[in-house]
Amino acid sequence: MKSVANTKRQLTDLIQLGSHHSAIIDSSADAIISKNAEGIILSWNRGAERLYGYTAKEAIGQPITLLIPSEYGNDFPRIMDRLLKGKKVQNYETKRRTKDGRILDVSLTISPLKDASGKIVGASKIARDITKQKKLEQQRDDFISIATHELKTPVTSIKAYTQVLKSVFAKQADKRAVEYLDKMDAQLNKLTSLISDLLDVNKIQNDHLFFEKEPFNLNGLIVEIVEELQRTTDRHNLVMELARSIEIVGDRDRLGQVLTNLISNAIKYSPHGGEIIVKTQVKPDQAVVSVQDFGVGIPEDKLASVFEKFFRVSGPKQDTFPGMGLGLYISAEIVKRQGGQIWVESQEGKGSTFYFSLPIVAN
Amino acid sequence: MPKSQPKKKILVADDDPGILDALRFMLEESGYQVDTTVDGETVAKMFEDKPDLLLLDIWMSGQDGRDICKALKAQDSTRHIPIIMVSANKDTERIAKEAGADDFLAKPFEMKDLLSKVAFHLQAGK
Repeated sequence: MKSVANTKRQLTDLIQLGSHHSAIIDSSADAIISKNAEGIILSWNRGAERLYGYTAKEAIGQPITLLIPSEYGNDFPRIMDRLLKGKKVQNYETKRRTKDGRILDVSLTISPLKDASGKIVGASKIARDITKQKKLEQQRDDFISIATHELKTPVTSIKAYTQVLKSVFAKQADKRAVEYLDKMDAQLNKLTSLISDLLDVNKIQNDHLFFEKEPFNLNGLIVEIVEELQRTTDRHNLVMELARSIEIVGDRDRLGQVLTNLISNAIKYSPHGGEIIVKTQVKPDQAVVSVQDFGVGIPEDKLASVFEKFFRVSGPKQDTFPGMGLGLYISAEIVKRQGGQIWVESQEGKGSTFYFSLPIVAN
Repeated sequence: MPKSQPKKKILVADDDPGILDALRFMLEESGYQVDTTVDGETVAKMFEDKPDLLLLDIWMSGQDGRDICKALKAQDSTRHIPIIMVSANKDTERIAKEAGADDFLAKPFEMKDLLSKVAFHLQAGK
């Protein structure tokens, strides 16, 4: 008697659970669709009706290609292939077509559906409409391109005139004029890097900073940058203490940017000149690069904030240091994206050492 | 007495008159003959004068510099003329090469880089 009552209760619980789950799926704002291994639509929630315009009756039994705009290529076989390998598809951005022919940008998260034996018999998909978001991103990208162009345009022509004038005066052996024009050129380079920094920060915020992934020689990069920056100062002595040469896989230009930033800062914050030591350490799974200066150092209460956006060294003794406070923020982002870490040790009045680590990919 | 070489002709196309003027100054000082235009539409027409090299901005009023480059490289009569694409955006270097350009220069550029690339491609063109 008890077992019949138990079974009845279990069945009721199951049915309730089933209805509960159906209610959850149905009330979701996102489109939730399931299909079998051949791509035939098995279920279609109200979110799917709203997103794509087809009613459940119209959609169920149809192939999923109903939604895929042919001009963008059919990505369903690739998705299925990934699922059959047991991999989930998460936040995959693609295009789909609605019943009335509109093309939508959607973000898909797809999980495999398995039967009792664990065999994959279909897929369950959650689709979110990201068309508006994509449009905003496109507007932002366009703005960044236009802003770069507009800001760099007058700088380009001024720099060109400056350099031509310099060669004209050099031919006339006018040393003073050449010196002034050199200083103008240096300022223009500063302006250019400020503009680039501003735009980099914008890209970082919009997650549009692209990174190359190519192998390069770390020591080679360091030597190149140190030699270039040594030429910008005759009061500082840039010294290299490099460990054995290793290969790093990453973005050579961007990491060069980090080094340039750290060494330029070392120069900037050692106003009385002095040594700047660039060192590398090779550990089994990472390389650590450090830039040490013997300049003004950073007060202890500011150490935690140096890598924040807009952080600038300030104070009665130090408000002659120019800069927007973006360099270290950008460097930190770059190092982070390369899978490394960045940190600093410093003593006010004695100097600072900035470190960053880069993972070494075992061959 | 050595025969004097005719000046090499360089065509510069950029949507900014300031840059055109500065580049004209720079290239004429270095002994080149220079023609300029802001208008993308006229570049193809000006090619009939057979310049020895084209400096082309990716951003041109009226047309995308990459399309102009592709079109010129697609024609037998103009394919051999070296094209150096110039742009404010260093990320577009790859895209410029894909358009068929022979070289690329990021703005703002160093005069020595511009002049050495121009000299190199004019030599190669021989």
